[in-house]
Amino acid sequence: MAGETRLSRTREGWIGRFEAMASPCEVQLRDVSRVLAQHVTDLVAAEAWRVEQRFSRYRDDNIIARIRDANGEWVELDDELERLLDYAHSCWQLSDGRFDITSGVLRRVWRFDGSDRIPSAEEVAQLLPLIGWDKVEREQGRLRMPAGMEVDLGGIGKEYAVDRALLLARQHTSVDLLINFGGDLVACAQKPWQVGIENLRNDGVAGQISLSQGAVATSGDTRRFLLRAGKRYSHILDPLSGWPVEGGPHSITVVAARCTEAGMLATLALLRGKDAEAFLQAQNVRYWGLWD
Amino acid sequence: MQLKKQNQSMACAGSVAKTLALASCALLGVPALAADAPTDQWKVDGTMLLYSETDRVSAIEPVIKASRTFENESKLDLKLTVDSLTGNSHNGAAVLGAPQTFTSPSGKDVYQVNAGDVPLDDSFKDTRVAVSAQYSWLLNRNLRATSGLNFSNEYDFFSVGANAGLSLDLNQKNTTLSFLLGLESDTIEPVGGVPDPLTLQSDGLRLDSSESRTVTDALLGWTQVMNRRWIMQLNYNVSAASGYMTDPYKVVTLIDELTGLPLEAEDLGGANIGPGDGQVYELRPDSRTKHALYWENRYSRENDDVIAVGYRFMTDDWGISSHTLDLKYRWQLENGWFVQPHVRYYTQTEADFWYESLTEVDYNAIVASNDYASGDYRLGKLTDTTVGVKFGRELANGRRWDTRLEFMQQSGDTDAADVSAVIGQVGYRFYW
Repeated sequence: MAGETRLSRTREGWIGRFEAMASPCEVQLRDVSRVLAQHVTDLVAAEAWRVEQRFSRYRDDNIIARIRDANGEWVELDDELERLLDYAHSCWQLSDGRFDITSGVLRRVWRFDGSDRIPSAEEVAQLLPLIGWDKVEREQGRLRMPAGMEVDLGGIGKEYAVDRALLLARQHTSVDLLINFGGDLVACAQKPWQVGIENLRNDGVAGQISLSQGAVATSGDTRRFLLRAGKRYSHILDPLSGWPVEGGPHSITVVAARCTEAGMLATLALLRGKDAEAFLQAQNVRYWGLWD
Repeated sequence: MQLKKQNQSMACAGSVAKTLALASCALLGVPALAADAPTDQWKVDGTMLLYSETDRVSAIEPVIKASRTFENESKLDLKLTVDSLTGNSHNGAAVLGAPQTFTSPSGKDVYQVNAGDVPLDDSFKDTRVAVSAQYSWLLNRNLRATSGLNFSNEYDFFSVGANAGLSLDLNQKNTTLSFLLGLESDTIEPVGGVPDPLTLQSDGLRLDSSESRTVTDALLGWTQVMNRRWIMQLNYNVSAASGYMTDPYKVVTLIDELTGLPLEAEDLGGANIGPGDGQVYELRPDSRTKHALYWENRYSRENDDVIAVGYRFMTDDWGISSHTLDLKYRWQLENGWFVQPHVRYYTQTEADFWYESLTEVDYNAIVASNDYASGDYRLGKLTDTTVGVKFGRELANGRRWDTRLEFMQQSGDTDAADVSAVIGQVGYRFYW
């Protein structure tokens, strides 16, 4: 995965920028030399590109493609993917099956492009046999699933890359850091960073928090929906029915210790539909939601 | 795995967030932060148990447990138990309509029990100190090894044990199979020496100063996550003991088959120490094999209440079979409070060599055929019922206190088995 990093001066230090996972990414550092800032930025970027290359569903040369193309045969897994699948499994259990990394096949009929193209009930129903984490067989070091099924780590990958990047950067420096991949971010600093919570609908600011240790992640996207006969179809699909979750917010932003948790709490809340807010309140976390 | 179509329940405050925090740490291969779950600290559980039987034994048992999970997911558990027992213990003799005379455990003193009273030895007093350490570690992602040592010491008893085992996670960690093998070596040094079994207590014949036994245990366990709310566990345990299993302080009463009154030692050619002194030291087999099956189910309801149902079946080659049914319901209340009622029912059949008392003919036949005899009510037919309640509160930073009050009522084939007891316990857990 080719890419380049650019470094600029800020009032307190340096900011390194690069592109990964279809998002603008940045690393902010305080009180650090240009050389170290460049080194840390390169490390973080390399990790982002590595995670993207290894787990992106848009490639045909990685393990995700091998699983998709295995046609019902066993596929060997490495430790890192096993940990990701364990995590996905926990999330699947915690959500009573509503967070399901095999649900990506629904994209074949649901295209959230702002149009009014709603799939027929039959089109959706035909895909349901290809969805279900419980149809996946796992053994030590390998996995097997029925032909036609696929796994999609899109709901975990970016946040995972953010947390991984911080771990790597921390091995090289103890200066104040803020790692932000397209709005999913993690901070580790003595002096807090001021983080603005974006309001995705009108490009305004929904809030601001002061963050020294912790992460913020957003799930949902106000720009991705379908509109038909005055009804808005959210792009949050319930894998059990194959249809959009109704009555919930368009996006949720959550603060947690790590980016993976923050992102998953936001996703699990969205999957709860109209109960999203009650769920977040019960979890005792800071959050921002965007409703109609 | 069955999935609910609709689940409107909200898990208890932050429970999804806590589970996710731990899962994220596992994903990133980092230890969980103290703020999530204090796993980089020692978890310390202290309990104080008081057990008091009406007119019988009382016990005070403080226990301290400390456990710690390390960064590599290995885990160390330490436990210290001190058990202090005092009171009156049934000496094995039958409850009869005439006075009976016994010697104290050392054989030096003589005591009498009135007609109609349960023969109790009031010199019963012992303090047990037990320590154990158990360490478990990951061999790979799904395979965990465990190994432990334990020691227990009393005035007349010393025990050392070791165990080792493996547990394997399968089926995406929804299934865990475990195997544990344990070995234990016990040394028994009865006060005044090992009595010569099936001889008259009034003669005070002693053999060696100590005896020993070994116990080998094997456990096969199967834990299954049936669904997100239901966990089931099935354990099979086989235990083989060999060596000295007789209770050196217990006797069997010899009675006249017509009157049902105790025989006199002097009429049987023994020393006379008082009325009703026809008591012989008991004898149990020198091997015992037990098989036990334990089945437990835990079900978390949507409101986070927990139902736990346990059933245990045990059978051994002494002729004892037992059934235990244990029910608990945990009500999760506001602000971390919980209340947990508990009911336990236990029943066992008697050992083949259990006799409330022996006639001279029976006794002679047992001696002639190298057979065994014991009058210990714990080897007789027993039924006991325990009811109680535990309540407590979960506090910040993983701390928790609880208190438990239970009543146990026991009955059996003999009046000696009629025991009622009160059990009280307070506990406190914290991270250090």
